[in-house]
Amino acid sequence: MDKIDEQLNNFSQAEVPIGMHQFVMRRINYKKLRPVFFITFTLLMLNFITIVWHINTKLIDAEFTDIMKDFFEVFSFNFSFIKTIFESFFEIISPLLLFSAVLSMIGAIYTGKKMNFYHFSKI
Amino acid sequence: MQNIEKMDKDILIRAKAGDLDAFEYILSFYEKGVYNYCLRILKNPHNAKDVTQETFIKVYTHRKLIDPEKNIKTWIFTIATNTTYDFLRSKKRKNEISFETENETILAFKAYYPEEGLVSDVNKALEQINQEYKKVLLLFYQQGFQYQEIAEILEMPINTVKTHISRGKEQLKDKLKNYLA
Repeated sequence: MDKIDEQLNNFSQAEVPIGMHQFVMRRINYKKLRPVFFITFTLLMLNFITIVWHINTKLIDAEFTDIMKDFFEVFSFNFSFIKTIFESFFEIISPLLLFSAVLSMIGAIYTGKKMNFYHFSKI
Repeated sequence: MQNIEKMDKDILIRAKAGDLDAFEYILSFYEKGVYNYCLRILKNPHNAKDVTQETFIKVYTHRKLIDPEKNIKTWIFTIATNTTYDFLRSKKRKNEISFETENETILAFKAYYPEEGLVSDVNKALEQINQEYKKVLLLFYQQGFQYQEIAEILEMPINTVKTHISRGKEQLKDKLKNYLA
């Protein structure tokens, strides 16, 4: 029995397959990042809905094409052009669009901060 | 017999809190043992790799259950054993085992354990003994667990563990009688 004991005590161990360690770490990182992706996607969707709603109600209903036509009609390098640019800008950019921009920014900052914890495997 | 490596309590606390550095340390520490345990049971390197990966993903998912006061190795091997059972059950359900040619499995297995002589014969004999005895022998000799820990992993009474080890060795002795004569 001693010989068997000796052999059993010296069981050889196979090496771990290449890529197994990294695969586990990738899957775990993904698990950790999934809620962040969900929040980011929700923010992007909100942003998209805001823009679509804005274009639909404010720009199309307010004859957006006419605004743009006026804008190009006065296209010349003089003071009236600059004045028109400012006027048109504030006519087009409503508080709603600013809200949408803020949403995007919050999304970007949140994702950027959370992505920081992504753990790069040391092996 | 190998000594059971004790994991630092601080690392376990950090891993429990979701620290990936700590988790990666645990992974590096036990992946080889778990992989070899799965390889011996499943006799297929690809399946052993899949089950080992699944085991560690489960360890991370259930990290809240880590008890820093206890030996995490026992808990990891309990998960590995259950994952192996699940894998074998699902394979049996899909009838995949019957499609695998025995030769392919043996060839792949030999590539991992290329020893000659008595070592090779012990490995071969181990494949021929009762699967329950084999599991207990692997945990006792290959992984260095104590009787109590094996009883926890395999959810069986401690006396059954002792009986399995003794009977497993008897069966091995019987298979290797030519060498031992």
